[in-house]
Amino acid sequence: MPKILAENLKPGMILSKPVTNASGILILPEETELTDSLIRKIHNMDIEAVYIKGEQGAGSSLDQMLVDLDRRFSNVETAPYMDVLKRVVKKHMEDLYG
Amino acid sequence: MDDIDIKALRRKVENLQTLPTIPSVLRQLMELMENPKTSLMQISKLISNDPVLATKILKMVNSPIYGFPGRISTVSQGVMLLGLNVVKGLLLGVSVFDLMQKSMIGLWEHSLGCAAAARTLAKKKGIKEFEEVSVAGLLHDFGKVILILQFPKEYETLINDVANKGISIYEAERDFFGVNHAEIGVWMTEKWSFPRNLVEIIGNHHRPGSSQYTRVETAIIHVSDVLMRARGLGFAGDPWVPAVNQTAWKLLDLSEADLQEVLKDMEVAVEASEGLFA
Repeated sequence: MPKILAENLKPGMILSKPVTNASGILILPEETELTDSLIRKIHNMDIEAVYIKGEQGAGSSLDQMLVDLDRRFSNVETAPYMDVLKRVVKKHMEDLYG
Repeated sequence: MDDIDIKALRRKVENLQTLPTIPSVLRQLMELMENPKTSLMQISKLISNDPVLATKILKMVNSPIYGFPGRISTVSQGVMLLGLNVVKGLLLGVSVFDLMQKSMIGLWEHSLGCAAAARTLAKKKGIKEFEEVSVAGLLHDFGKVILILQFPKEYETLINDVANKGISIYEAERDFFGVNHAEIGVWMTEKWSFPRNLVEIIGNHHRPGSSQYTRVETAIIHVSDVLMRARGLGFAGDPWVPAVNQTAWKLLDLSEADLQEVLKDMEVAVEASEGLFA
């Protein structure tokens, strides 16, 4: 469950933990889907980062994860054994989120 | 950073405990660790005097990563079961990562994932001291923590640079500081009297062929590191998967099924340790 910096929040992300202010007062409950105005509210409260559902935060669908996987491997596609590693991780992702 | 020579850099990072951001309990811990004669009793007393730290250490040793789920209820019991070096490593990991959670979000998860993967791999390879290998996984990127604490602005610039240029943080550190986080990890673990094997693993995790005494253990940390980056768990300074070292890969001789199992175990262990710093 990743913590996402406030500046990187996008509408549609869902909170995996409640957001509280510095004194522990609840601002937004768990499961809240973020909107532009809620994100502005988080920025205005000077909250640094919040917990977002899904392993990668933004667009945590399997498709998005596989796109991210390709990007991470983009420099090493042809290096020895990296095809094995990528295949293993891809299968792992599909088992987890498919 | 041409104007800072390596010796001056070493003096600076070795004086980490003088940074105003270091909490007093961590400063005491660092001082205790510097003395190779420090006993288990002294360490366990220090932890017991700090309830927050004690709770975190107990959570950690009771998590599946350290293999005594729900069985350790007191600090001294944990210290006895795990031994001085493992406890020192855990203490350092837990207290320092806590301090830097804000400056490099994700390094803790990356390190935790490596610790978990390293534990499974070490057991598969029949290593008796698998807890120590797991601690090496937790601390392998410790040098990054030190660099961030000492040079927060410069390191942030490096992180932004590498994401744009497509190079690794490891290379960028070398270019900028003249040394990389693995070498800094060696300075610090030597200063804190960690055993030779742990120092070697941390120092060589990017060039596992250079290890003399810990060839398999270093290969395990190297492969765990690459695997966590491939999995995309946490963040370790750049978004790229590095190429796996061929010697290390062949030495471990893992099947795809082995690797699947390592990843599965790791997810469970990391999930169970979540909220350690919440």
